[in-house]
Order: sequence, then C-alpha cells, then structure tokens
Amino acid sequence: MPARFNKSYLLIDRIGFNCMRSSSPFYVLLFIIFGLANSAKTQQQSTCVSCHLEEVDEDHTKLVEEHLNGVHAKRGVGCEGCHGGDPTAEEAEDAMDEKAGYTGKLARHLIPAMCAHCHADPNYMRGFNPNIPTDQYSKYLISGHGKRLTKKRDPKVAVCTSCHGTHGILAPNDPSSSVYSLNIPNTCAKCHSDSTYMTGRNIPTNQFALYAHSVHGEALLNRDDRAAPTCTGCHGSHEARRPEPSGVANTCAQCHNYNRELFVASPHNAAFEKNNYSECEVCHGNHAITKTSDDMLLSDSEGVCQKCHDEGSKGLLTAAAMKASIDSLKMMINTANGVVELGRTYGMSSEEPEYQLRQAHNKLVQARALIHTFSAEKVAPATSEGIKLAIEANSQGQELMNQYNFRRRGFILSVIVILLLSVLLTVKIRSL
Amino acid sequence: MMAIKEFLISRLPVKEALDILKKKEVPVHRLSPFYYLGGICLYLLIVQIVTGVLLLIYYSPSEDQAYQSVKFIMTKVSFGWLIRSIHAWSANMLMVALFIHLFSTFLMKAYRPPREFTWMTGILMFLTCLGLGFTGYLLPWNQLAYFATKVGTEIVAAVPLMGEALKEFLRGGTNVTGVTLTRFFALHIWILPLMLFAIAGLHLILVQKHGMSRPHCESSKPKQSMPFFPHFLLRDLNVWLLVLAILTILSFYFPTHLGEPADPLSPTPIGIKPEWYFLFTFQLLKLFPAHILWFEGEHIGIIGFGIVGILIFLVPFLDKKSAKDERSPAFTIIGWFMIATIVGLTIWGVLD
Repeated sequence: MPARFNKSYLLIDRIGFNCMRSSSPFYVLLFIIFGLANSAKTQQQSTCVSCHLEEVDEDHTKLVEEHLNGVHAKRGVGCEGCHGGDPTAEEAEDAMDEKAGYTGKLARHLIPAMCAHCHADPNYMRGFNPNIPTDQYSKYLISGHGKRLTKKRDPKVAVCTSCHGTHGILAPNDPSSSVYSLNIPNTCAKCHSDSTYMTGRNIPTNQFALYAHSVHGEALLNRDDRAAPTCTGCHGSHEARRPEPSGVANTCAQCHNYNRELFVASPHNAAFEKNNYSECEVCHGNHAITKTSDDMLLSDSEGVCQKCHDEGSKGLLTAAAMKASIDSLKMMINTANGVVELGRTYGMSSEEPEYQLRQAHNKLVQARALIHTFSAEKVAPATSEGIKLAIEANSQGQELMNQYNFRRRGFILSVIVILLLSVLLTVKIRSL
Repeated sequence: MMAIKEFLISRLPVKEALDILKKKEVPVHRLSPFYYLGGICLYLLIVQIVTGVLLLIYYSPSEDQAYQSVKFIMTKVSFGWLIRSIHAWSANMLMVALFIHLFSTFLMKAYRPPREFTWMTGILMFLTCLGLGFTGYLLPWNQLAYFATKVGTEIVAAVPLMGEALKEFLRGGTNVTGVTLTRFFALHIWILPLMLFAIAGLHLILVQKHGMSRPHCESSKPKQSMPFFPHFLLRDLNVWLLVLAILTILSFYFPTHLGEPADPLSPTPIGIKPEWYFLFTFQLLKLFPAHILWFEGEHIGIIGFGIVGILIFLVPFLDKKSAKDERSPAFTIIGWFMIATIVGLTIWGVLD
C-alpha cells in the first residue's frame, strides 16, 4: 500500500472540528482535491530519511531511526505521510517546499485529524488489515480528551501522539508499544499522575498509585496478566471518559457479568438508582479495588454494609447471616484441607478428596458471588452443598490417614519379620 | 510331614540335585562378597517377574487407558501401590546390581578362559535389561515417560544409515503414539523377557559348569572354599532378605508417583532426562560437537558407543594376558576409567 498525503486537516483552523466530523462527503471531497498526488513517488528512496539520518543533527537522526523501526515505515508510510513534502526531491528546498505540500511540525490540535485522514478511511486502511477499526477519530471527538481539544483548544490535552508516540509508533500488539495492554497504565499515568501537568483540571492525580496496588493493577503490573483491566478497560481508549454512576455496573459487568445480573435482580438496584449511587463502586471502590474479603460483610475494619445499614437493621442482620454461612463453609474446607494435606505429605494418593475440596471451593466462590443477591436464603444452599462436599473430603482424607497407618504397621511388621528371618539364617549359617 | 518328604524324594530328582549342589565349591577370599551380586540380580529378576505379572492383571496397554489403569492400580487395587513401587524400585536396584556385577567381574577378570561365554551372555543380559527398563518406562503413559521416550528414541535416529528407519520401527511411526505404547508393551512383557530367560538360562548353566572364578590377585594365596549347598546358598538367602528389607523401606518411604498423564500436544517439559542408567550416554552425546570433520557429532558418538560395546563384549578375547593367567593392569585401568566416566557423567547428568 502506498503512503499518501493530503492537507485537508489543515482546514480545521478555518472550518472547525464539527465540520470535519459531520460532513463526511465534504471530507471525501477534500481528499480528492488534495489527492494522492505524491503516492507514486513514495515508493522511491526517501531523501527525507537519507538527509535527516546523516546530515542533520542527532535529534533528527534519532527521530528518523524511531520512524524506521515503527509500524508506519514498515508498512511503507514515509515522512511525507504526516509532514507532506516531496521525498524524491534531491534538494532540501524542493523537498520541504510548501508547494509540495510540506507542513513541517504540525500544531498539536491538528494531529488527530491528520492521523484520521488515513485511519478513518476504511477503504484505505483495509489494504493494511481488513479488520482494522477506523472509528478512532469519531470516538476521540466524543471523548473527554477530544472535547477539551475541540471545544477548549486545550494545548495540553492528549492527542493521538500523546499515547501512541510520534515517530516510533508501534502496533498496539507489540509488547514495546506504549499502548500494549501491559503498558497502558504507565502511558496514562504520564499525564494523569503529573499534578503539575494536570493543574487546572478538576480530577485527582493519584489514580495510578491507587490502581497499582489494586487487585487489577497487581494482576496486570506484577503478574503480566493481560486479562486484567487497564485504564482503557473501564474508561475506553479513544473514547475515554469518566463513567456515569449508572454505567459503573455495566463497566464492571464486562468481566463480572454474573455479579451484575445478581445485583440488578436484588433490592439494592432500585435503591441505588434512586439515590444515583455508583453501583459496584459504592462497596468496592474504583481505582483502588482490593481483593474482596468476607469481612466486607461485617467487620469493624473492612465492613461496608454497616456504612449504610444501622446495627440491628434487617440489612445488617442479613449481612451477618451471609457471613456466618460463608464462615462455616470456610472452616469446614480448612479442616478437610488439613487432613488431606497431611495424607499428601505422607505420599498418599489424595486426588479424590482434592477433587471434592475443589468442588467445595467452587461452592464457596458461588456463595461469595451470591452475596450480590443480598439475601441470606439465596446464599445458604451454596454453602450447605459446599459443607457437604467438604465433609466428604474430610472423611476421604481420614480414610487416607487410616490407610497410611495400616501401611505403616504393615511396613514395620514386614521389616521385623525380614530381620528376624535374617537373624535366624545367620544363626543357622554360624552353626554349620 | 516325613511321609510327604519321602513321597516327594522318591518321585522327584531332589537327591540328585542336592548331590550336584553339595559338590559345587565357592572360593573364599577378601573379594568373595562380590559373588553375591549374581544371586542378587537373579532375586531382583524374580521380584520383577512376580510383580510384573501382578501388574499385568489390571494394566491396559492402550493410549487412552494406560494411565488410568496404572492410576487404578495405585489407588483402588489392594496393595497395588506397593506392587508398583516394588516393581519400579526393584528395576532400579537390578540396574545397580547389574552395573556392579558387570564391573566387578571385569576388574576380577572373571572372563578368563573357560568363562568367555559366561561373560558374553552376561553382557547380553545386561543389554536386554536396559531394553526392559527403556520399554517399561513408557508404559504408565505419563508426561515424564512420554517425553523421555521421545528423547530416547530420538537418539536412536543418530545411528548412521539406518537411524531414521530404526526410530520409526521403534515408534511405529514418525512420532511416539499409542502404537509405540503397544509395541513397547509387547517388547517389555514378551519379547525381551523371553530373550532374557533364554540367555539367563545359558548363563546359569555356564556358571554351574565352570563355577565361580577366583581372581588372579588371589591365586598366590592359600585356596579356601565353602560348599555351595547349604553354606553359600544360605548366605545368598540372607542377602536376599536384606535386599527385600531395602526394597520394603524404599517402597514405603519413597513410593513411586504417577505424575500427570501424557499430553503429546504440550511442550516438552524443561529438563527432561532419560532414566539414570541411560544418563551417562545422554551426557556423553552432549559433549560431542555438532560436526566432526564431515560427519555429524551425534553419529560419531553413536558409532563410538557401538564400538565400545563390541569391545566390551569381546574383552575375553582381547585381554591376552588375563587369558594366560597373568596380571593385566591395562584392562584394570580401562575398567576403572569406565567406572569413573559412568559415575561422573551420571552425577553430572543428575545435577545438570
């Protein structure tokens, strides 16, 4: 695919962003007017690269090297793709002549539209990848970042290059890319954790610090678990914005769908909607979501129910009942686990009780999810079944220990008999 | 009781057999304990046969049932865990006893005339036991067995000219599959045991015919001996009891585990190694460079093993001095060098 260049986005300064977004026929027309005049030339050796790599200063050399290692250069998109100009011209004046479409370093507010003139064109982009999305620009325009750019002309707000980089842009699935899933929190944190940079914006700057210690951050940053949500998992990427309170549960439900279903069917749903509470966030928090604990149901340190429900109220009694039920199951699992573990330590084959224990643990997980029904009656069946399985595992573990003791007695007896026979034989040998 | 004894003696050649055994003498000197090794090998072989037959009652040699059947033996069958543990441990002890028996015989130059064929049948038995160990290792069809067999049969491919064909013959195809399992099973329970019985029978007949060899270093000392029956046989039985005690202790404290079922689609586990008795060859092959002149290093290594094997097999005819009942220090040095190499490479392989 040849690279292409036109300067339609330069009209933004004259016609504004809204025109660019809503008038797609106009947008297409601009492409035709400014055309793909330089496309044929780009296949030839780029004089931009040859000059800037060797004859200009070190900073330029570094930029060119980054570009050459980036996804654009690898796909045939040269410097003129973004900066215009004539990469076939021998003389610098000709190559960087405005008549050849040379724009130089673009103003920050022009960057999204400049990127969009290729990335928002499905016909052009499908030549590189038939499945590549082309809605990034339209999403960006409705994002918090996009709105600040288009409405307030905020000079510091994130544009495409803020997250993707400039010359050394890599494919998002490249582990070195700044937008590779494991790198996203740090990429966002470059601005959002910089209190000086964020001055004047009414948002905190501790999100990354909180996220890094959260259950999600720990999974992503410490265990490289790419299934864990990054900033974009909840806020969106190009369309990034703060979730509405009523949309929090839907955001969490992308992964925690079962809990969402239980919550919606619970009495809490109506009460939360009425009070415009941020659903999951009320109990679990947002960036600092820690690993859940059964003590969240009722305890002085972690209890969340008691924050809204008074002592002796139906709500808190329900929480206490659910906690008692879950604690009973945990206690039974721990007891059985101790016995089975002992059997395993003695070299016994403990697969069957371990299977029962896994089943019991599954019931514990199920009971914990059922907390979102906020009904002790709905939690109880899961814990009861779990307790039955744990009792079964415990008795199988006991049987293992009985077998082990039987083997030990047999072993001791066998060795005694063998040694006794050996002694008798020795006596016989000596008597010969 | 006496009536039964009389009944049997009058009908069976018990007296004749005892007369032969009573006439047989066993030399007594400072190296006499090494004479017990042959008996230990025989005893462990009997243990292998008995436990192997018991395992056969429940074992199912197919790709989808082998692992489950061994698991069943270990968890459901009464004393199944013990039988399998004893089978596995006695196999390992048999290999230890065979190595010691082989090298003690080598160093004592017991292959001197007229015992050349006794030595050669012993070498053949040793190789057959290695084959039994290799084929038996795959039968539980667990991850370790699967990939160790894959690596092991891959080495066979390095045999010059016929390596690939030999590998495919062993595997029953290009890869280790259920077909490999069934042919390894056939080799393990029929073909190799029948070969072993035939060679072991000949070996025992030769031992009976020629008796125990007195080492050259003891020839100058006064000759002492003891009757095979009952003196040596009772001592042999006592050693067998001690071996049984060791087997019982090992099987109780270190029962054989089954591991995870074989998954041919999974990547080869890191650090996969053959059984310890093949480790020295495995390590030695690693030392060979990729290419030696115009030849592949592995091919040269395999040819080297073959040549060394043939030389060891023919050692009674190569050691001319021993044949003349003279001291043969060169072969003693060769023997110790081989022991040091095998022990060193095996330890290196275990630690590697």
